[in-house]
Amino acid sequence: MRFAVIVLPGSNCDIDCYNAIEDVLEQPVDYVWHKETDLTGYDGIIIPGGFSYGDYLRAGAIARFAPIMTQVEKAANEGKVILGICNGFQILLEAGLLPGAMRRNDNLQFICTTETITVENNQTLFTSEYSFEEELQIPIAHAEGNYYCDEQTLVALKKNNQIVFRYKNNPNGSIDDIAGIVNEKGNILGMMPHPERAISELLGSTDGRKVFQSILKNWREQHAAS
Amino acid sequence: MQHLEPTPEEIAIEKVYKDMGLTDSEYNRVIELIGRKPNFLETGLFSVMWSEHCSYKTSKPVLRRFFTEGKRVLQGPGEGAGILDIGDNQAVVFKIESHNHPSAIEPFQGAATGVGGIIRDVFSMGARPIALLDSLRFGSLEDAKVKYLFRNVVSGIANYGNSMGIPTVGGETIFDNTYRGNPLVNAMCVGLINHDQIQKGIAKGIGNTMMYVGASTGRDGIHGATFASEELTEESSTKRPSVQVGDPFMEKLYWRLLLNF
Repeated sequence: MRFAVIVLPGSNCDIDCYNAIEDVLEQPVDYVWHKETDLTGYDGIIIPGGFSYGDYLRAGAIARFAPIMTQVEKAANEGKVILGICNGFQILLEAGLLPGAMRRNDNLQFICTTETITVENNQTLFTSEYSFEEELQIPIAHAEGNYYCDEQTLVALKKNNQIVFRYKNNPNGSIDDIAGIVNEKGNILGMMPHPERAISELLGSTDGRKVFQSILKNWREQHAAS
Repeated sequence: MQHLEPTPEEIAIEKVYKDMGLTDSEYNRVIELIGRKPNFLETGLFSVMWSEHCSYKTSKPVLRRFFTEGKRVLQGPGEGAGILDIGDNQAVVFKIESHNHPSAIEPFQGAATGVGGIIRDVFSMGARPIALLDSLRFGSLEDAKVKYLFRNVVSGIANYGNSMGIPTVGGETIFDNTYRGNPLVNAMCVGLINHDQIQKGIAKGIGNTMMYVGASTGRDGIHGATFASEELTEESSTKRPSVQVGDPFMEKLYWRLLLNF
């Protein structure tokens, strides 16, 4: 399974994501610069955290217009696995690939800490290796992580089982304690916590490893079947 | 053609150099060195380079008391940052800088640009910046103004490093009324480098092209350093435009550019 880590100007978790694929999965992975216009050779796409284009307008608002994003949309429509972490999640929201929007944390502060999040759906491509309602210790680091969607969208998210992760102690005011969601088709996950920062004891937690392991396992099973 | 800036004669007669922080004796030394009266730009350049912020003219005798030589010292004073050998062909590059006056006037940007300066000094040696630290001195937090300064200095440091992807991993803060009107804001950047990647600020060869890159200059012009070297007074807050506004995104792009060379 070949992975692409999208590098936008201002990305700063690209190396962590690259290392997560190399260390946890031992799969081929490339950095793909935002000006590239071809993602056809990749099976999985990661949009890492950071401050794309400085986030000067609004987190992810400029990045959604990056040349590579048309390819990300194309890959999304083809059903390829796409994981957006932190700024990557914000970009997926701005691009309309996931429903809802981000607001500033309700305390208006940047928050950098490790949160307990629970697995609300372990039937996804990204979480099948976890058990249902498993509690994970995963770092968060964001100022705009206060997820919001309207009532109708929230009902739909619940009905389709699209809420994948919830905070145990909501740190930012997110509606319904949402920390991560998938699209209806289930091939795109956006999450504010950083699983790539929780892949070894040395980093304080290994609870993020199964996100990557789930992706690979499910891809292999699909691949073997086809 | 109308001259908008003072002529060398006017600078001498009206003592324009004094507004830029140069003393009479320093101004005379400039004349001695270049053999004529400096023009407006030259006067500005000398005032910046000879300011306390850039030349450490009064603190040098104290700084000289630090040890600077040893088996592990790969780079002592004289370059953008110091370098110490840590074995395995690796070394740590580090730089510390104060941004006291800018932070006292405009705490968020004042502290943020202090961080921006030292990160630049570390990556321009060829190193990858990996951590930030700070050493802070403030008055009592019961004072509303101090509380404002404290909150904004801390978030200025955190925000700039964070935007660049460099965590602030530690520091120390002391509160004492001595620092009420004049907080001390020191930030430190640590980088990691392999011995063979060390770059020095040495350029040789007549006729070579020189490129000078950086974020766009704001209203501070070249006199941010001049302001930082003056005594802080009641009127200092009128010089708020002298505090540079940080652009971490632009610096992040330069960092990436340099690492790719």
